[in-house]
Amino acid sequence: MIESRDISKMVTHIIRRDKGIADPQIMHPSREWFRGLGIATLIVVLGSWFCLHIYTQHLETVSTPLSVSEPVVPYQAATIAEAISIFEAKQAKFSEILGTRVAPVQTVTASTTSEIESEVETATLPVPAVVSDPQIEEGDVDESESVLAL
Amino acid sequence: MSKKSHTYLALAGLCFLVVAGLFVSMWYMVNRQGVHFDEAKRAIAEYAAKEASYTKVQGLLASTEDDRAAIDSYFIEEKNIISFISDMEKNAAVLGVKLNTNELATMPAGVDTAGVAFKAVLVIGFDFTGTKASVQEFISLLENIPYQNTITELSFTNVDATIWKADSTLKLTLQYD
Repeated sequence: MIESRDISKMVTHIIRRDKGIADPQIMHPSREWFRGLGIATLIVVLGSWFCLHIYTQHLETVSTPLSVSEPVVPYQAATIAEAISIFEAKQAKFSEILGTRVAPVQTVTASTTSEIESEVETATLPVPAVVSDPQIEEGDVDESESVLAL
Repeated sequence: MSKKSHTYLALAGLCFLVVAGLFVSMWYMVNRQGVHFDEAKRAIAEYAAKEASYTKVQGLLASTEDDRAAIDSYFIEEKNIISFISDMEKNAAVLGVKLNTNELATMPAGVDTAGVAFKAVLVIGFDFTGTKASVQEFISLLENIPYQNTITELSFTNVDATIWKADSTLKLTLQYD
């Protein structure tokens, strides 16, 4: 005879049996494989995107020329030209006063200089008394040629 | 999970860590090389800019050589001072003026009381006598000496009916390097 105690034992057994092991805890090779594959694909896609991003960034760096400011060389050409014209005018006037058109200053050639000297030899005067200046060294003075036009 | 599954999981984790470590180290190296590349690129650009500037200066020096020589010639050289005075003596004789040099000194470059820098100058004092016309002509000659100069003092005295005397002081800027 089946007693109530036996029935409750059978019910308990059935209930325990139905509970069993939860599905997520059970290994499903295909599911785990596809999960792993999915994660790997995600990593590969993210890695590729990141690499592409770095590549593009450096590609832009390579192709973009750097703008380095070039130092400016100041040269006041207009001022120089104006100064030269002023001095040329003075030079012309100087020559005009002396009644000659010979170009003055050191730029004259050796032959021109000798011509100038020969022209003025008739107007030789004694060398003026020069106040000696201690700052002028004897070796610094060159009397070999005329420095001004006559 | 079975023991075998645990082993595979541990191996997979280890592989993942190794790959992730390699990836991070590669990323770090790429960034470091990128920084080096940027520095090198900047250095090259600066060098190129300097080279271009140097070439430009060289071209400028070559193209302005004549102008610079002309400008240089408008500044008296210290070694030519005596020749200059001698020339002025001869010029005075040509214009009929008796010239005497009464002052000769050089002033080194410096800064004046107003704080303005000035170049080294040669100070020459001339006194000269002659007719009024010849004295005026000689003054005009002094004004037009083709050197950078300033007449700082000028005075006239009528010695007698025909003879005039003038005193002048000139400051000629000396040639400098």
